[in-house]
Amino acid sequence: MESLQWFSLGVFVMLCLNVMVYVGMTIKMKWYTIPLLIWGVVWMFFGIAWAGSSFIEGYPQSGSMALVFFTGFGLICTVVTWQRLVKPSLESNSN
Amino acid sequence: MTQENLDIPVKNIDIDDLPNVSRRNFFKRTAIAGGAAMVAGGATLAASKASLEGRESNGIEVSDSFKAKDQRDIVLVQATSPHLTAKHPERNTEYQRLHNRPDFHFFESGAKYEHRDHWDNDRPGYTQADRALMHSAWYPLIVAQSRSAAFLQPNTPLHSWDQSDVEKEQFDFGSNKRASTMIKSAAKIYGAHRVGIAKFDKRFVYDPLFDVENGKELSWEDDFPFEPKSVIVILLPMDYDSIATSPAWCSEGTIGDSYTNMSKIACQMGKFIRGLGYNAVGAGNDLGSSVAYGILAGLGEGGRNGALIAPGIGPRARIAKIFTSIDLGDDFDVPHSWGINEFCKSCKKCADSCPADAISHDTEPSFEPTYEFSDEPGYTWNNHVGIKKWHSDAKKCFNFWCDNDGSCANCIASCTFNEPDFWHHWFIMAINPAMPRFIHSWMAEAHPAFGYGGQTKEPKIDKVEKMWGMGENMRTNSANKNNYGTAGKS
Repeated sequence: MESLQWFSLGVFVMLCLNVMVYVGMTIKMKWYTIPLLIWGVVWMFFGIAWAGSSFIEGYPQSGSMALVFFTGFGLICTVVTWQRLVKPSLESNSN
Repeated sequence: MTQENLDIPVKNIDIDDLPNVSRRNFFKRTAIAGGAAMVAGGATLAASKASLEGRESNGIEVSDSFKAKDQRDIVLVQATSPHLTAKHPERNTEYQRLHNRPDFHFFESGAKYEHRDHWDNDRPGYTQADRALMHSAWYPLIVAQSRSAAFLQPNTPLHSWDQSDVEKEQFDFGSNKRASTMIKSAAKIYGAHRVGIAKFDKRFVYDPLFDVENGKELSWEDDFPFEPKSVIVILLPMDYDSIATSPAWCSEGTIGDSYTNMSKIACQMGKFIRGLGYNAVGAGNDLGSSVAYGILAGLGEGGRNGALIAPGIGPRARIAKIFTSIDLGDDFDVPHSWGINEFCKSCKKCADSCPADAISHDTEPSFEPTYEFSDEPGYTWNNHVGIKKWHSDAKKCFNFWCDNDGSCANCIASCTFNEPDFWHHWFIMAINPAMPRFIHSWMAEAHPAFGYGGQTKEPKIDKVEKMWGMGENMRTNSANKNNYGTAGKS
């Protein structure tokens, strides 16, 4: 079960990297945009990995808290970065 | 959050509007990004493992006047010795007076401990099944007439001082390093979770020793069968889910089981070393301070609760010792630190959860006890003055055991370092030394908020039900499969 968790997370991390590389290549953005996206994504995956292991070890409360705090924090970072920095650049790029 | 709120013009973006990029460049950059992610992941893992190795420390801080502890000044010895009861009636009367407990008597209450024939099948944790689990866990030691080693009786059958089977030919290890490795391999085969080898230090044994059953003082020079050179220290973890039921009787299932394993492995290791032509005596709680020797062997640090706190297990381990004449020269393990003692200054969860209020709430450790009534003449007879630690009032702890009619592991179960064996707990352990004190406080609060620990005077019914309901899924001690370099350090 733990192996499946790590395999799945590896796949998702690679997909996220692909998106970030594509965004970085196609849109002219401020220098700190990609680091902020990475920061948010790392927290999201950290929370998901924590939650998965907590459910496996039999402590779902720990998993829920991890999703709320770690993944939640990462999600907010990612969404705000995307809305504030990526999307405006994307739109100006497509005009 | 809407786009309007962000003052961003609303416009749908079609995927076809997105520009094409050079496929070659895209894959090239993706490979670089993937490589960078791997390097970052590998660096994090390496840094975590390096942190879990700990750093060398000074070990145990003692005052200039520090000397070895007289075994007769230990609560469990007082509680099992009619000789000491007759010799020190003031120990009972003073406790009764100060705590207004005229019914409590160290020896008489101790004699009834675990033997009051009752249970309540409507009270989870105190049912007939919990009682049976408790008694059966210790039963092999009773059969082997060695349970009293847990109450510090020396020279019981499984911890025999008999050296008549020492082989005449001494095995040549080749080097001290090889000797250390071979001893640790043997211990692991017999079920040790972690093994360290400390240099024998007379300050941390009980001196004089005391034969509790016969009321006789014993000396290391005249009665012990040889001059020890080293002490092999072995950690045996207790089951997480069983300890989580503390102070219910069923927590004693894993406590008694680990004591049984302690005696078994001490007996085996003693025989193994005597078979190599060297002297050896296995010990449980007897002969010396297990916590002190655990620290000297680089297996952990002393915690606020008075227990040895080992990385990855926390205080949820029992300690067996083997005193031997093998001298490892410069290859003894040495004390290490993982920032545990520093964390204890902020945490205090064990003290909060102690049903007897026996654990210190002081922020800093001290050389002498500071607890309630510690200024009363003679009241601190059981404390080892001169060693820097958080001094607990073990008399109140034992009083609760007698009231509970079973031991209590609340300070173990509630410890922030007491975690199941999963990567995220090891990660927290690895970053702990780098964290400032206010983060330690936050981590201590997060531990129960995340569902771990949080012991109260009454056992938590859901944890009792969980333990009994796990069946084949019970993790038991095999859950502690990982060491991550936290074993003994040389």
